[in-house]
Amino acid sequence: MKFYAPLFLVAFLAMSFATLAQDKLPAIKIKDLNGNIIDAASLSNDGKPMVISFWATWCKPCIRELNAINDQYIDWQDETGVKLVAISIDDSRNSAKVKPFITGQGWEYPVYLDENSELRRALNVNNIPHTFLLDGQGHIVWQHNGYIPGDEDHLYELINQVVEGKKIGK
Amino acid sequence: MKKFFTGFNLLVFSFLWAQNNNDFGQISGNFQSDFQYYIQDTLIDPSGDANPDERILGTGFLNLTYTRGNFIAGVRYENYQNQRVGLPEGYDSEGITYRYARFIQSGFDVTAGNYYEQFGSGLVLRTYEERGLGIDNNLDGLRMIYQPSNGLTFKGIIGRQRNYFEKSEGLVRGFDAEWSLKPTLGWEGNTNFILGGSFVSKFESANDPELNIPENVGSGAIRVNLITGDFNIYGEYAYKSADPNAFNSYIYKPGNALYVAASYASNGLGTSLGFKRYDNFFFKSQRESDLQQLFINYLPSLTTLHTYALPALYSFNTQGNGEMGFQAEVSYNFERKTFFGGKYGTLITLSYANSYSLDKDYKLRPRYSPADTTIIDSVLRGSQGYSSSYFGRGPFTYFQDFHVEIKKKLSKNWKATATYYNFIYNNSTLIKGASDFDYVEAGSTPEIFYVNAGVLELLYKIKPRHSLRTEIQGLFTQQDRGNWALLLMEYSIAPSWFFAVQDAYNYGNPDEDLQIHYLSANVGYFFATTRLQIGYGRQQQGVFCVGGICRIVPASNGFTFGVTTNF
Repeated sequence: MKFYAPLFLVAFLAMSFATLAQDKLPAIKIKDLNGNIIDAASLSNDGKPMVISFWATWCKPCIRELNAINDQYIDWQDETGVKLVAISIDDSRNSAKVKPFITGQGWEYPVYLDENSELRRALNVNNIPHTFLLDGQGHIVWQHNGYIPGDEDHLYELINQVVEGKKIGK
Repeated sequence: MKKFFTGFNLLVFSFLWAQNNNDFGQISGNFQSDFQYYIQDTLIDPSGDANPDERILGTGFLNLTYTRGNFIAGVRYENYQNQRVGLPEGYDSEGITYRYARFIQSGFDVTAGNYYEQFGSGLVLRTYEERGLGIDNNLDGLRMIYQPSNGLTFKGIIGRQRNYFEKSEGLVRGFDAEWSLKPTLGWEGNTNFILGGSFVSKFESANDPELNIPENVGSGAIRVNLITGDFNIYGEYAYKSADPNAFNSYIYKPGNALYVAASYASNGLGTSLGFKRYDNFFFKSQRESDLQQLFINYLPSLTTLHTYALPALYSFNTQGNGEMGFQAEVSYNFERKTFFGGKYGTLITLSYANSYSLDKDYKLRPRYSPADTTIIDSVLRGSQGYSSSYFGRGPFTYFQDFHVEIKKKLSKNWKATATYYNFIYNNSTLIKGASDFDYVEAGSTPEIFYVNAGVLELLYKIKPRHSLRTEIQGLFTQQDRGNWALLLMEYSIAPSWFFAVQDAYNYGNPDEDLQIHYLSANVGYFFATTRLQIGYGRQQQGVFCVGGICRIVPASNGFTFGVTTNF
């Protein structure tokens, strides 16, 4: 029974003081494709909305999602100024292939490596694809797990709502 | 454990009360639960041995993370009630398996409790969680990361690994340093040079009646990474002192490992080339343990991870006791409005990988009769094991994978991906776990499967938000379970629903009674961050491979129910 004590305590804390749900990106280190270490908390898009998408080279739905967005990305950027940041959770088995992979796909997104899933865990991402939408101040306003063709249209509606300053219904 | 929590709670409270404002931080988390109702299926399991007595089994995971500025703390509760079909036997309990407190400030990053860490590419240290496979080798102890300046990182760790719901007998200690020259020297442009080195050792007490076993085993690795804008080369070499254990037949030969990966990517052309050579390099925190548990290190397999169901039947797993091999991959994106590109462009990927045995020359240990000095026999246990020429190719092929993938958007509403695969698969080594020495001793040859497979995937956008995805797969082999055909159809309505049916038909099974259909159907519903899935299916016998170890998952039949959510 002693194992449960801290669990209840944390749950109790959640109810009494803390705000539920992750608000901002945590200060976890990730790498860019040039080997530079970046603090995830420093990712921003100059006051415009930002999409964070967790993916991997072996994850077919992730690739479908990023390709679908890529088809419309130029229009999205022109209309809303949104930036998509793709975070690969490929481990050392595949992380060396990420750069050639995205070159082949022709993606224009900034891509970062989260090789041992540190950021993924800190953001409580279970399975990929997992997408976060951040407003211009870096607050996480929406998140979504999985990808179904057409989800990108829904995401774009939400991006527009963020731009218009509307509150996003969960 | 209890003491830790008292301290942990105090820490959380002190942070909460130390601040006189309304920022009390955030709690976030996720939850996952899967249940299965098993039905006995006399076709796939005539004896009923694989059918669990419990009828209904479930697993659950709850993660809670508390974040307040630079302070993060978390716990994970897991339950396996009881061991689910397909998971290792030790997962049959419930409790807190992961809890930590972490503080990050001005270059310091300190974690107390459980943590996941990786040095370099993982050759000497990597702890990670792969829940679906039953892998979690997290360390429970302390981790300190210090970044004195941009470009310099030092890490120190100490801890004991998780072993199901217990701890490893062994203690793991490690240190890693990484120096990235570009920020330190203020280089302009995209060129960077990164140097790194690690040292990891384990301690486990020993009391063997016959052998004098080292209680401390040390390993070290050095790595270099050169990056220019388009070109990247990474190399890591690791060495390990004598580490006789159950997985290397208790030989005293020191181990070594080399991993090199290079890539060049520019203007729609992506290429990569990798080389690996692993020699006696299983590194575990206990000399004896369950197969998949307690790995300290991780050896990259340098093969493609296939995810279509039929090609994934013949997946490779790294041979930590000795293997070498390479992988080459080229992909090119033919631009739209060219001959090969057509209207929307075409992406073609070619990939080749192989793996074969080391050229080993065995050096057995003679055992003498106690009465006189005559030799009774010669054994591997307690010997130097073998010597091997560095680039010499051994007699056994473990694996070969050649595949070509063509990906194309056909029209506004149609996308297609076609893939052809050719595998050479050493079943004795990869699945049955036979060692090279077993063949040498018995004078036998391994069982090899020759496999061809093809997959066509079509995605059709019916109307906005409605789409149909189809997979047509075929797998052809004269060996093993023979030929297979598979059809998958998945209808989805964004953003909430999907309906999928799949039939895998093993029409070529040499045993006519096993020429059966493996039918399954799934419905999924998404709302906000929650996903519900319910399904029915007959699951074919499968293989889970991790870290050089494969586990056979028995066939099963039944209803499944799963929930995942984030908050």
